[in-house]
Amino acid sequence: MEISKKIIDLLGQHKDIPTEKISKSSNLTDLGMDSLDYVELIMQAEDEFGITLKADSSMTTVGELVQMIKEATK
Amino acid sequence: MLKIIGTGRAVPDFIADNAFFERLVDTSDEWIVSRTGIKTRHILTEGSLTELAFKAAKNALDNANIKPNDLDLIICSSLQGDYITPSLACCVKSKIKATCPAFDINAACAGFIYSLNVAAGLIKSEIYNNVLIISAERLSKFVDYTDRSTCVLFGDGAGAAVVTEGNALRYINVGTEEGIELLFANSGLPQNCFTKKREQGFITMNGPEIFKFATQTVLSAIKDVGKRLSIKADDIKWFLLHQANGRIIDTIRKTLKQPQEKFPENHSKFGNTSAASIPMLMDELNREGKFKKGDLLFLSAFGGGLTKGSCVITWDK
Repeated sequence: MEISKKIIDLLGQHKDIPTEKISKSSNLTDLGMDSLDYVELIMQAEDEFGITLKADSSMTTVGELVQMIKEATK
Repeated sequence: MLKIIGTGRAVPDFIADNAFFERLVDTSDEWIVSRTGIKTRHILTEGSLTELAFKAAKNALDNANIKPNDLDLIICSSLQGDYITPSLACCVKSKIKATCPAFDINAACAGFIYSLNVAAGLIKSEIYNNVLIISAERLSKFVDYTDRSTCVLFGDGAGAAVVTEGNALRYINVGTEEGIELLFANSGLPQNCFTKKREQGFITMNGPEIFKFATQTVLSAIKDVGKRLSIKADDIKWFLLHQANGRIIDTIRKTLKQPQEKFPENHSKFGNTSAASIPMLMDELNREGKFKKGDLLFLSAFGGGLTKGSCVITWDK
């Protein structure tokens, strides 16, 4: 599955938000994500894509997070 | 290898609730509870860690119906006792009037499981039989009470267990991972002709990386247990996890798709008491009569080092 779509799906499930309300420009804090929610999402992305990410990377938007994951999959 | 025949615990009298920390640093009860699940913690403001460890030890010996002279060994796990030397184990040995060997180990928050691992090996070697394990921590002396990200997390306490030869321990695995810089506290140095005075440091923690390490450690241990014992998470009656943070425990529980009642907690009352958290929780459940003979307990802890340890033990009392 395409990375953006997967991350948006995971975010939607995690915070119980309809995925159509999440876009790449969405601010993670505005979506209700705190730093521990972020770590949980990071761990799910690691499992999903078979990569290792820094838990304290603190991306601000969905797009930045997706970009970080894309780079880790190269 | 071994079985548990008694448990004990002790906490200091002074209670610091979240309102106390609201007056101390820029924080709120709502923030602390939502991020950690912690509402109060006990702080050692009077007396010594030796006295706390002694109380936990005495409770465990009474529960085991074992006299101090019947002990073959005392192991204490602690970040630091009241002295550089003698060890905390020797101090407790003196107070309970035992006559056996005694030593300390420091495996941070995984200390109790590391101690069980050491005890299991020594009991299996038939050198020792009755071993008293005490995990006692005075974390408050390592905490920076101006740092709102850490000061709300930690509490003081002691937990103990008496173990002896038996077949209740079905799995135990301890280990380490790289990450010294992720959770540490510098020791102090005195001023003398060879050393320059250095103040003892405070606990410094990379919260997100430790959260990730903790969660992955426990989930990985469950997988390993599954492979080695051919059991599933559903077969485990009690998950006694290191009580570092309620969010860690929640994440693990949801990933394993297990009900809340299998995940008892004491972090809401006592905060993170490092190595003491699991034996304190175990004693609480034991005294409340929650454990039934034959219950399968999964213990798992993680801490500075980075240290990690997990075990599966049948309740045999």
